[in-house]
Amino acid sequence: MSLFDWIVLGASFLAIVAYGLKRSSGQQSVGAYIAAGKQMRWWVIGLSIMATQASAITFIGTTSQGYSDGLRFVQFYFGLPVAMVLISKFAAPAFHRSGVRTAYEYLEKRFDAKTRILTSWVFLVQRGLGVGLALYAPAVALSVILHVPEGPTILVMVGLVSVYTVLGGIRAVMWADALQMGIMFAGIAVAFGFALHGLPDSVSFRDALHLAGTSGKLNAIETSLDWNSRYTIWSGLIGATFLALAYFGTDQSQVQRYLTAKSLYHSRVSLLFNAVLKVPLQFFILLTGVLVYCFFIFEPPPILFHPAERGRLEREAPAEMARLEAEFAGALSARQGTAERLLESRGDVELEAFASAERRVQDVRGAAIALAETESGPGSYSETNYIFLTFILSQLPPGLIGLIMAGVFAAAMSTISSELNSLATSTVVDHYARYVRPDAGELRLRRALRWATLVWAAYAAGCASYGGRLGSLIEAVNFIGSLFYGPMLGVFVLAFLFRRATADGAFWGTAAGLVSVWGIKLVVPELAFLWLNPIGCIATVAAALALSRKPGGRNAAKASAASRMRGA
Amino acid sequence: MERAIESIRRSETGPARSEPPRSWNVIYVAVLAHLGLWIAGLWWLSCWSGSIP
Repeated sequence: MSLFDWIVLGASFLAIVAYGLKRSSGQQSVGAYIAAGKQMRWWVIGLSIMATQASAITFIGTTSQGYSDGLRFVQFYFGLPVAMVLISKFAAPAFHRSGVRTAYEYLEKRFDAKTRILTSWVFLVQRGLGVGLALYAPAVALSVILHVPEGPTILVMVGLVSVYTVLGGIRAVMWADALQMGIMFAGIAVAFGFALHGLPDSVSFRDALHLAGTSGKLNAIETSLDWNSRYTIWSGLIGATFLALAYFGTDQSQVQRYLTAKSLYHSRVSLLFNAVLKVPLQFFILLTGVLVYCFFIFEPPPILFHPAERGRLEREAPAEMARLEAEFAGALSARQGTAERLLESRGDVELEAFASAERRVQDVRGAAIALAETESGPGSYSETNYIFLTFILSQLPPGLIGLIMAGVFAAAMSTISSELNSLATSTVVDHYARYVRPDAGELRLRRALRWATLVWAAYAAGCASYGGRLGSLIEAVNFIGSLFYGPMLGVFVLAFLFRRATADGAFWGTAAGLVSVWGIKLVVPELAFLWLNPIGCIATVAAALALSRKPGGRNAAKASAASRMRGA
Repeated sequence: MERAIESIRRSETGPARSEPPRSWNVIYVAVLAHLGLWIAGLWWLSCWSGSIP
């Protein structure tokens, strides 16, 4: 990166922090700190919801996924609009009318304290490790690409985020999210434009799509009924709907966004704003990756996109790498020639020749990847986070590289700030103010919220600093966390839709749902993870309803009171 | 659609709070129809490119 890029990056950092602090200045109350005084408008909430979900890895990983795997990942987002409609219809009114500050507080009002404790602990453990990963993953990629150590990258990100999150609370976080989303939109538009502009003059957008289609990169819809296939239209419409319901409807990091709305109307419109924009947005991010693939048909890409791994192999196995590089150059040249002939004639013979040349390129790359994995084992090499960054750094002019890098940092910071704020809110509201200091006044609670945010920020930085050593542990806990989503959704479905569900029924139903998901994962380990969400949710609801049948149970009165609360 | 949104805005922020917000259902159907159009468009793209025979 040039000096100009660093200036653009630094200016964007300052702008984000200053804007967040300016927008939150003058607020003093706890209500303002965790719910923005319930004064936020739909478009700020909508952008904040989007920015919280879009991590840096979404930004750089999704484009890379478009490059290597085509458009099929877009199916993962088909469930999101369906989920947003359901949350807008059922969850948003329930949260709004009950006046709760956390999603788990609603469960205590509807059921009892033990259900609130269970669900808030699941959130704290799962999101606590998630925030470490949200910091660690982009820090590794950016440090490799920018040639700066991981430690300072982590500290810069967490330090900047902490300034406006600790001082300004959720209002600062949400306004900064809106600005960060604007920077991300600009970055994606610039990358899309340059990928298109970088194609040879003789290759039109339609030609590029034709080449991408021939290579199977425009496979946006897969109708396969294979349950083990990760992305199909069925897993997208059914499995991903349950996942999106769980994430946007039960996770405090998202629920807290629409709890800040000035009215139910603003809350609902912010959700529908995401329902309408998310699929087009992901489509354009993936299409940018597909265009980068087309660009590299006419401009030779490196044999491996991971610069550190490529450098290591060039040092440790120079003869083998030189041979592979020569083969790769020949395969690329053949592919470019067949692509040009295909675009001229559009005949079946040329089409087959191009497909064959593409297979040859992938074979040589496969040999280089196998060489990289000699010591670490099959499947250990990953370049997902480096493809898009390699394109950006090699093709964009000074200034715009800084803008894209600002977009990557903005994506990371928007996720981290929202997660820190929601972790602190749940810690203080669901635990400290509920059990440790129930008599705490406004001043003490505000201080506790700031300290909790700082402690979670330090914890995230600590997790990220040891991310390399804790990698398998973080992955394991994330995997375990994903098993909780279905049952978590199940208990909220019971709260919103089933008046006869009792407190004990909901608690033990959640436990039964968890056991069901774990059991199924053990029996059918290859089952695609998206299917675990509907299974966990349905098992929880069914078990809870069965356990709630006992008439005159000790929670019957409470269930009746809760029903009145819902009806109020 | 705009009339439906305006009616809902009035019902939830203005004085006519008891007005049943039935118009939301129209918006929900429109949002799901928008998703349907995207899926149809992407299906067409997959067919055009040869991914779906």
